[in-house]
Amino acid sequence: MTRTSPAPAVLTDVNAGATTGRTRIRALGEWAGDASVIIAVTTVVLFLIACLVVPEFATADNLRALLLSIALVGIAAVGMSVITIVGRLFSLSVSATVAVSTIIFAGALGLGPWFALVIAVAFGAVAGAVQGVLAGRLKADPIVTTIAGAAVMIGIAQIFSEGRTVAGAGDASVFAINIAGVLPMQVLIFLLVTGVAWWIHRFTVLGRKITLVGLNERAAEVSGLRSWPLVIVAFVASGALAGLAGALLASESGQGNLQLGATFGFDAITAVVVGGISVKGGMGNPLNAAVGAFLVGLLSNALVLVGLTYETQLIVKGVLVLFAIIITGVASQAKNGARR
Amino acid sequence: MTATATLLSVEGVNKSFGGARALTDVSIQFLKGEVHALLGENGAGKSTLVKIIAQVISADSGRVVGSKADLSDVAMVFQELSVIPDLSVRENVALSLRKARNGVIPKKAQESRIREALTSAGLGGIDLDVPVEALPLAQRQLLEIARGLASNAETLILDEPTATLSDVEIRRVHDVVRSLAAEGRAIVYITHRLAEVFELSNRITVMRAGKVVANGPTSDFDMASLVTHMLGAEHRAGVVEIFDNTFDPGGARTLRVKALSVANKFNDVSFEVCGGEVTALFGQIGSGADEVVRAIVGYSNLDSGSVRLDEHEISGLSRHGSQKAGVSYVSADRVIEGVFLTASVVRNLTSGVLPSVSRGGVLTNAKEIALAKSVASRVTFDESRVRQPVGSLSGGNQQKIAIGRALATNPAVLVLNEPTRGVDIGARSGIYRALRKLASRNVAVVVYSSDVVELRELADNVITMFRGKTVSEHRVTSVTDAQLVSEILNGTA
Repeated sequence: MTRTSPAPAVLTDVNAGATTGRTRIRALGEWAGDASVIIAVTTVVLFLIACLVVPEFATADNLRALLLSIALVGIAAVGMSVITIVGRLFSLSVSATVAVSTIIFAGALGLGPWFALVIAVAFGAVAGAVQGVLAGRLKADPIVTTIAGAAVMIGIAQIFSEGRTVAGAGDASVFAINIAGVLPMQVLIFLLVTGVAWWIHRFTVLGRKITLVGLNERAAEVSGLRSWPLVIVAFVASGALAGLAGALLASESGQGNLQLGATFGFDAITAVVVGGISVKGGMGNPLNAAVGAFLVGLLSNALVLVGLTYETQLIVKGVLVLFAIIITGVASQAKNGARR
Repeated sequence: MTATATLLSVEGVNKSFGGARALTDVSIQFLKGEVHALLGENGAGKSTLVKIIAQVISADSGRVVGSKADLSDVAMVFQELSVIPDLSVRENVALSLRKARNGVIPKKAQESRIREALTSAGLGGIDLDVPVEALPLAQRQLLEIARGLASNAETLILDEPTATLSDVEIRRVHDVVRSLAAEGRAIVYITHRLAEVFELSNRITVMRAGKVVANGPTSDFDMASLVTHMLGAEHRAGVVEIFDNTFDPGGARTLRVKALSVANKFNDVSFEVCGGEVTALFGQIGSGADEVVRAIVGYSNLDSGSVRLDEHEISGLSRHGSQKAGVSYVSADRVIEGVFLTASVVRNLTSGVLPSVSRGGVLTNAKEIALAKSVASRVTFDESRVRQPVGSLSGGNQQKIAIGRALATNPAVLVLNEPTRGVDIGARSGIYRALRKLASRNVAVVVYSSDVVELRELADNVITMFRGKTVSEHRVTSVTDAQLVSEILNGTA
């Protein structure tokens, strides 16, 4: 308390006020562990309800379509989550990175689909690294940095592509196959990316450092940890995965275009928030972002099948985001509120 | 002083935090027209009492009665300056008028009330439009008081208003305080500077360990009796417990601080701390002593001087660099810098030593738990609770974890900033024991403290500081409390 203020309120027959309300919220938070548990449970319950209630939902074709619809956004969301966890909010250059990557992939497709993929990922990593240096080493605001980064990327790509669609001179159908006839390649890559990111977050020194810096940057500094290299790592991860999403997006049509992937950035942020990852940093993991992407995709899919209009779907999505934010807020309050 | 009305009366107030008693049956009357000094060591309960009066926290029992039922005539001037540097003088004072009708203050009335408040606070001729950051520190402090006055306060609580001021500036604040009392207000004056108490106050209340231990007109006290009341008779006996310091000096390393200066904080500070010894920097808030410990661990841009470990200079002093060189740090601010509240005890304790609990960059859970348990036992923390989040622990236990985090790194030098601030007595002794034990293992320990009792428990050597300079250095066994306190209050041996 550092204020000059007249003392407010009543003549103090100062018996301590009851704090039961807060205690109850705290108990709720402790029971849930954290918001992501609530989100995961919600997802499973919604999935089961959809299977039972929504006609045509629980068919193999629909489920495959559902997974395909979220795979690419999911990959971008997993990348975004690293930035959120290290405490740098969001990258607003994900859409731009995806769009430019579609062009790079299409342009390099003549050299083979896997090679083109690697080039696109490398581009994303470098773009992320540049923004990471600005946001980490030079302590620039991450939101402003990535808005500027997006503008520069789109601008340069516009010059080279002259605004036209770039048709790939090669065959990208390898990314459209179904593994064992069931599992689409894109979905497999999404699952692999999620698994690896979760593992790094959960079990490696790198993941732990990112979490600690996100939780409390100054306490991490006291321990001798430096935050800026970790911020760079987060932006590289986000950029590389946006590049991957862009390459896979381009592989669907064999073409690159700056109009592609325009909604990826916002959808990835939605997935991160809905997944229960705290925007304050340190709490949540990449798996939560994947679950968030799945939840959003599940809802859209079911709402379409039920026959709701686009407007209604938007409202439902908005409410879902607000719900997630409230749950995340309550959970983190309950955790932080203890013995401040 | 004529017999006068009581403007504010504290009656039988009790307060506990968790299990620790902060205030026990405190009753004090503050009279119209008097400057009433409230004295006590850190942790004596002054700020708890003041917060209860200001209704920032509520008491467990007892009551506070003012001349107005809602206590709206009591204003609080907090220790840290809360004026907003970018805003003008006018805007800063206007901020405390915010609660006017409908949130809108008629401009004319505002102008005259602001002027009135400024004049009472000794800032009569000041330009209303000058930004506050252009004012010298003392004027900002007076502005702080003006903000309190703007709300028509009858009782004004001043929490260490002169802690960061120079002598001339202090005199100015004193003049204002005297005239405010003469106008018929009651002034509650909290300070650590004993000299100014005699110069300024009409009445003195001394608190110790949450109780009022002395209360009366200033003429009833002298310097010696005040120190005795503040410290308590039992601590005048000297060292409470002397640890066996038989160590093998072979592995010990020496921290050498040479001619260290940081502008506006401290100047030309030199000392050495040998492994196996605890050296305390002792000074008031604002003495620069806490800034010295922060500089040693790499938080300040040095203007000159060096920090060496044995003969090796720790170059490009940063927190990361000094940690790598073997200097660990425990911050005074537990919540902001000390611990990761939402993370488990294990994750807190291993946060500085991740390479040693992993193989090839992959964390080994068993190693983490083993390390955490061994560190926990060193700081007398219950091993079975290492999986709990630190945020669920008591303040004392949180501090043990903060210290454990530093111990886990096996430092050559451990630097602590107010290691027992806000920690209850029980946890304190555990912390002292852990630190003494650490010193006996050849670690050089440097601690900043503003608590003379703590020095007795903890330190081998004491370096006193006053206004950015070292005053002198003592073996703790061969100096009296009165001497130490006098050195940090007056800057003279």
